[in-house]
Amino acid sequence: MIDFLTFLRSGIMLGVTYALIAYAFTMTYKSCRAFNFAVGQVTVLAGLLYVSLSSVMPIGAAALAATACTAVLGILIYFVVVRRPDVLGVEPVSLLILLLGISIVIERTIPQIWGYYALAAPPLVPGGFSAGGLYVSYQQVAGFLLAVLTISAVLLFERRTMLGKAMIATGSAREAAITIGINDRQIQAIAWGIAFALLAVAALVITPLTSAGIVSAPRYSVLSISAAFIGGLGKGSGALVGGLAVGIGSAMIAGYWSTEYADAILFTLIVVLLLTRPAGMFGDARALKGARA
Amino acid sequence: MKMVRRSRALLLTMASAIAVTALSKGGAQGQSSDTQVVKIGVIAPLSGTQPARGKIIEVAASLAIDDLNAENKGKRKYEMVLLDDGNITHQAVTAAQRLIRNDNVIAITGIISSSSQKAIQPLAERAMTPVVGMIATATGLTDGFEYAFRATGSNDTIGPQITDFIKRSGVTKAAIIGDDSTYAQSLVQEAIKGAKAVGITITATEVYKTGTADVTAQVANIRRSGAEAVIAFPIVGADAATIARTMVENGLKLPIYGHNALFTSEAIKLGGSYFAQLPAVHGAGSVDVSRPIAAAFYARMDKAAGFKVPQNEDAAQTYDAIRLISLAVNAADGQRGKPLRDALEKIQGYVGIAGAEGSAYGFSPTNHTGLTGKYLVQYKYADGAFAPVN
Repeated sequence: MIDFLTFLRSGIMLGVTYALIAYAFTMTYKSCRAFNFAVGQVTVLAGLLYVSLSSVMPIGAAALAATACTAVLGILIYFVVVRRPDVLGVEPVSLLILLLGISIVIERTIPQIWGYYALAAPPLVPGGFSAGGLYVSYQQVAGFLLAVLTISAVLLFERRTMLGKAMIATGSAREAAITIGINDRQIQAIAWGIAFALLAVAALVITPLTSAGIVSAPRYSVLSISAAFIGGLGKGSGALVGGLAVGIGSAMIAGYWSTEYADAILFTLIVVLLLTRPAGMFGDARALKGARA
Repeated sequence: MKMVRRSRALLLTMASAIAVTALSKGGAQGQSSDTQVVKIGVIAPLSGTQPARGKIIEVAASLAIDDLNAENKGKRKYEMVLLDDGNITHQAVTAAQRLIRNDNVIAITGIISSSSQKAIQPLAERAMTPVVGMIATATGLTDGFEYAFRATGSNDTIGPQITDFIKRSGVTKAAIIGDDSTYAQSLVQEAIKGAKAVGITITATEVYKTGTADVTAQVANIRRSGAEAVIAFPIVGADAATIARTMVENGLKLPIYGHNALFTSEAIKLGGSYFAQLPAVHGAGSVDVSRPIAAAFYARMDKAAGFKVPQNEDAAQTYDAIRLISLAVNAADGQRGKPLRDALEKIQGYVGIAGAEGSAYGFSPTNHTGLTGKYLVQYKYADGAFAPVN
């Protein structure tokens, strides 16, 4: 039983992290059909910003400032890398390359600023407790609550506010949204800002539990993007379910089956799922066709 | 018209003269009448998952080149051609192709992964350009290749040296955890063989992805297996810290034994507080920092790099690899190809930065692995640092 709870604990923490990153990936996709493959690198970047800021200000302020800085970076990347080529009529495939380029630029810039090694990030709340032989750190509790509250807030924002609905409308039918007076540029910039803020929250959840280092970025990207596809591309709630499925699934497979073949087994299951449900668990098959076109 | 013909004839004569001079010098590039330019290709992971190691390789190679140029004033001018492979095999192959075809290097070094060196070796063989790897330790890596060498040891000597030390510490049952790199997996296999040879029972063999955020399942499996010690083979320091942290948080307080990544500054910084809570953390490395030559070298490295360089193989063996190439260049009188390869094979007893007291580099026609025998040094964590153990 203690093993099960231990695997569940680590699976949930990985799962909410992947869910936040997957949500960010799905949000930038939803807003302007752009696959932002730099999600892992931006998460690490946000973690490093948090590490640096926490050395000069209180932890809470550092977490907020790192989130705000990352959101601003998202808006800047939108205007420089996504919007401008869009205005110039650049093909979607070129946008893909541009965003891949951004991931490489971030990867190469991080060592120049923070050095070549991973850095320790301070916990949002230090300490922990043991219950029935299971150790749970307050960072795990705080990180979990932060992730769930953030995802819930963004989901509510999308579904209940005019701005959120405008974001969904712009993503699904941009021309029609413009016709009814929605400022698509503003809406897309907000979506990129929120997406990058989600990546910063993911960093606040996971980096104090591990470390902030570029070595982790590719794994964050691969597993989170997989989570986004499992949940259904473009679906916020799908990202949450997909993230938890990947996180808990990988922890359980590694714990009860094989650590050696955990990834192979996980991705085999993902392939089987996507073959039977190409649009993911909650995805819209029509939206997927649109993405292919 | 006559003027054009005369110019053409003059150009042709000049070109022929240049070609004859170049050929007569055995392919050394761009030299003036008495200075030969020797280009050495260095492939390092300046980007990707291990840029820290790439930077250290770059600095160590520059230091070696500077030292060689200071020693060879007027006779040979060494140049480094540095290319980034991001620690990705196909990029390493592209880099090697460029170094051979475009840069016309005399030899290639760097290359941190065994799989990349393995992929480059056939190219180097065809081009008759020696590859002198500096860290790739996979067993049998250079076997069957005439132009493949390495300024390091082989896992089939590293694994048994580590398990031998564990046995002497009184451990009878141990679990192994390593990442999914070729390096780690090869070392895992050799440690299993070494353990069997000295009577240690391996209770579990666990694998994780490099850069993982979580090894909880692996640690739980080790706990269930009833091991008395953990043999850890992470390739990056951050993963060493993750293993130690997970062990402590899950109440698995066993000693850790392993290879060099355990005592990188990254591992100590991130995992030091957890190392301190374990009964012991031992790492085996090929550099003995208590040797004056090694201590002086790392002092120079720190200054050149502008940061505290980990006192492990990356810097020492990069420097040594370039020194070994230069020894062969001198012995072959600047010739490339087969004479250079033959000269490398004849190197014996070269005392470099790496290696325990009394050990030395040596190659032969049947052995292209520079460090053999008991060249490893055991380190133990205490008071925030690793120190050599007698």
